[in-house]
Amino acid sequence: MSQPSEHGATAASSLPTSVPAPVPGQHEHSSLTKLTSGVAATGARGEMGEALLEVRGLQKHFPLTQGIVFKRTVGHVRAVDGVDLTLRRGETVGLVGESGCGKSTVSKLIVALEKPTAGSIFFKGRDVARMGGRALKDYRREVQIIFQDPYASLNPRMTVGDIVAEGWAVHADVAPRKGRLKRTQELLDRVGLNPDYVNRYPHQFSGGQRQRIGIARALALQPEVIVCDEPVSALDVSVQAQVVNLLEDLQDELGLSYLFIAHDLSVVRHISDRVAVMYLGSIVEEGTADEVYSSPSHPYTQALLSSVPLHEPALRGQKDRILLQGDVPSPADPPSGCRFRTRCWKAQDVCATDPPQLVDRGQGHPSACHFAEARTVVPVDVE
Amino acid sequence: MTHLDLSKPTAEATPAGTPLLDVDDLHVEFRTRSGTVHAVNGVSYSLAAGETLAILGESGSGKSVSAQAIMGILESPPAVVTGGGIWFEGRNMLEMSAEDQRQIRGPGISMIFQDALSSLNPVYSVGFQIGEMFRAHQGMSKKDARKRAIEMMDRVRIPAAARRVDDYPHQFSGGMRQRVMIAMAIALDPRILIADEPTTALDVTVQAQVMDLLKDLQSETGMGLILITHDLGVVNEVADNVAVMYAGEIVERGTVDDVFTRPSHPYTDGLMRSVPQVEAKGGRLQPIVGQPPNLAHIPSGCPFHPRCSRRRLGAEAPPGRECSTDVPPLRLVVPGREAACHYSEEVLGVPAQ
Repeated sequence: MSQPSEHGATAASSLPTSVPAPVPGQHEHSSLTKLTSGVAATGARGEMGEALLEVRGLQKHFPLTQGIVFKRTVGHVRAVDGVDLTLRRGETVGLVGESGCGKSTVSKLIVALEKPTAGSIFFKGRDVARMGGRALKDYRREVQIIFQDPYASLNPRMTVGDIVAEGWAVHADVAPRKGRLKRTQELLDRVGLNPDYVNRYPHQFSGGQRQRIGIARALALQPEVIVCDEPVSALDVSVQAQVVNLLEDLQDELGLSYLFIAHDLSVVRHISDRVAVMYLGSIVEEGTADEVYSSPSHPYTQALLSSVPLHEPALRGQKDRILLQGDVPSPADPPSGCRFRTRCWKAQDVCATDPPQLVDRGQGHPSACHFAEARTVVPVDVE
Repeated sequence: MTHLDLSKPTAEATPAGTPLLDVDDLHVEFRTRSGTVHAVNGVSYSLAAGETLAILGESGSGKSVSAQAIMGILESPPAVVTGGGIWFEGRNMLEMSAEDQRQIRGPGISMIFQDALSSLNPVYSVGFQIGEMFRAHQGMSKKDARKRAIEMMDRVRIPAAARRVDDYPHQFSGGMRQRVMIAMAIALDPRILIADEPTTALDVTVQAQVMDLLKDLQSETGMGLILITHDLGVVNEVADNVAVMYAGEIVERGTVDDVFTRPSHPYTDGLMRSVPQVEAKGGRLQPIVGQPPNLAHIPSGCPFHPRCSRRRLGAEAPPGRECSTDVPPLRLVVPGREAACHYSEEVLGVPAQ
């Protein structure tokens, strides 16, 4: 992503817009919501709304080529290989996994920066792949993204005011031309920055402040969904909490829905209502944050959780230690059947032949393991 | 501190309990065109054989610079060690010749770094780079050094070491590269290993493998381990003692159990409250307000006072304990615990002495 500050701008169309700008908090209810599947999840923040974003069987394969002049495709990196996700209004879904598992590719697919190889993304019941022109432009306004690296995702030659206001150049109907400066200052104030800083440049800000600029830019277009791709992992620990709290406040205030992508299991647990665990391109376990953290049932989730160092001296040595052997296999040549079987202590013959479906096998939430079994790995909650 | 009675101690002669390493009032500055950056301002700590000391701090707290000063690998200029001493087995490394220092680096003190890919030379095989330790320090032949390199790779549990010894760094995964670096660092059986954010770039499952390996190697060799990190969880699981750094100073020191259970410095306390834990959903995070300070402009008095919720300024402070003017010394608060705060007893909830 060479010019991340242009996100949302690629669908530029110069159609005159007469649709009134949606007001934050007041969301239009789409009559096209045909695909509201599953039971409404109840998370930490109470009842969740209808499904906004539904991802079904999403795949992204990147070709591997050989040769300089005549490029031959010699294989594919199966970065994302069959991902299902549902994001409901007002909820935070945490997508967690290790580097290379495909979680960032999922975020790029969702904000339409990449085209899926197969599978669909439905936004309010409409297939994003079939959207064109106006509809796609609207989609790109409603689904915004915050990037990981606050140093690389802000254009160093643009002032903060210009960065935040850039989206309005394309989505002019969101903010009337006259009040834009005032609106920019309101946004800066809302994310905890001094409104007088509109004319400063990104290099004059610290990492935490830059991430706030990125958040203000995402909010400028009054989105309903924000994809947060590792939004706090580049920040110092004492600053991380400030940004996490800001994201939570904004959600409560504006009714935003977050897809929160991170490798830090502690942050994901803190912020998420529901959690999906990814391994080598597919989701291996999904459930409410409590279900996944207190009774993980996929061996990979168990191993992942058991690797996280605990902060309480009293709990040291009390967790179940599961030390995984070896490394993650290459996504260009994933194992047959279950992706995790090469490192799994439960693997049997069936694992090499039948890819396990992500279904509830009696453990209370979906798990993609033939031998799923809830097991408490991390000591019970100390509130 | 008296170091003078230790006449010519050798590795074997160091009596139990005598620190292997003693860092005493270390000051490091970076002199740049845009001003002087005070990276380390009077840091003291000691390390015994077999001990794991964690240096905990955020970026810019001076934790890595103090370690680089110990290794003598600070780039000078701009870095200048302006004061203090680094005593390794009774000898002040700052007053040694470069050659004597070189003799200590490797068999005495060794270091591993955060980013294994940029710390390894991409144009030499890993076996050559591990073997270099034996060739340079022990004058070993290429053939023997290669043999020893395979042994070292086995020791850090790199699978199929004999087959992979001639591979290049880019052919290894992140965790395996970190193992290669550990193999280089422990090749000469150092008395002290400094690990500077050894697992920060790694995934949690790999982090657990690498930390396990370091602990096992330590219990085999009895080396002292200085673990530099910002990860509270890693400190809790691995270290015996912890020194918390802020703005180039140690603000709190004690055993991990004590410090983590009941912090006595507002910064440590704030850090604990601001970090979410995997073992609990918890309520709202309580962040520390503001940003870590710019080391070119460290606040007067207590460097933490602009961010501190317990600070007392002006007339509300008792004499000699005004947070913006009076520098709090690192002092004993309760037995076994030192903190650099005028009001540590309040943080701990114990009566002041």
